[in-house]
Amino acid sequence: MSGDDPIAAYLERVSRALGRWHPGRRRILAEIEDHLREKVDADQTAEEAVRRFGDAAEVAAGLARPTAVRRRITAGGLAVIVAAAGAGGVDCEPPGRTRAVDMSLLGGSGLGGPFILYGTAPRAATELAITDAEGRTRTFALPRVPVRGESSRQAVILDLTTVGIHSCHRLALLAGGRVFARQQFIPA
Amino acid sequence: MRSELLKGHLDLLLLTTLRAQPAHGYAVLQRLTESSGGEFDLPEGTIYPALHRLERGGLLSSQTSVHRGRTRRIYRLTPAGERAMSGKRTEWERFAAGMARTLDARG
Repeated sequence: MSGDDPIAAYLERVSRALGRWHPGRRRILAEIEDHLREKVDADQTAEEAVRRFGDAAEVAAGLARPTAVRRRITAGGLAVIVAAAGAGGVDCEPPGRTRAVDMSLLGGSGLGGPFILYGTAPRAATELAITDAEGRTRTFALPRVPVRGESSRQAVILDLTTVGIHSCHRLALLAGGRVFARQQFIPA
Repeated sequence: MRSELLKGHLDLLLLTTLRAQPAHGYAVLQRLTESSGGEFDLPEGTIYPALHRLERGGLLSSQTSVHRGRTRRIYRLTPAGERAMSGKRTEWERFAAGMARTLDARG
């Protein structure tokens, strides 16, 4: 129990906000505790250290891992993976045929944000078009990165938040301006 | 400086700060405050999501040590982080130069 210790009480609030099953919960709490106690060691009051660290719920929201790699969609010989981040992330739920995500496609790097990633036969695709719920479409050239352990494949990782996209309704892969794979999304 | 302004450049700031020397989150924050002459005064909790994200992206690595009986996580720049920092710095310099030219032109 936290008793009268503001730091322990704060850590409890962060812990609750993260949720019991957050995979990095212990690490996060240990890191925050070290930070706060170091400030107290440097003669700051615990209350002030907690205040300056920020609201527990906001801190936890920032540390929320991507909620899921939602689905793998097979479309026209391509495997498209849409990964959705937590708060503020891309939030798409693909309908239709789905399979479990092949995590090896992520190259072991994990997910640091909302990504669209595709593999298996992507060499023909040169662009990705994202249409949001309001019908605005933006097209992006596809950067390629090798997939670790999958030398026969290439994958594309695009963090949509870096280009200001926080929702998508329709996704299309293009080559030479021609759409050859398309997937519609229903916002979750 | 407003934290909203800083957030867009936080990755570059963190990578640059960690290039000099591996450090834990609190030390990173202190260095940022010192090197900016107190201008960069972020809500402290905001740097951990960024550090974790950069680590997941392979731009930082981390290892733990024990300090005063507490677990401490030390972050260091990876070779990929070094390359990313260099790219982001170039991007920033071009942006800053463009801003400066624009502001000068408008007097």
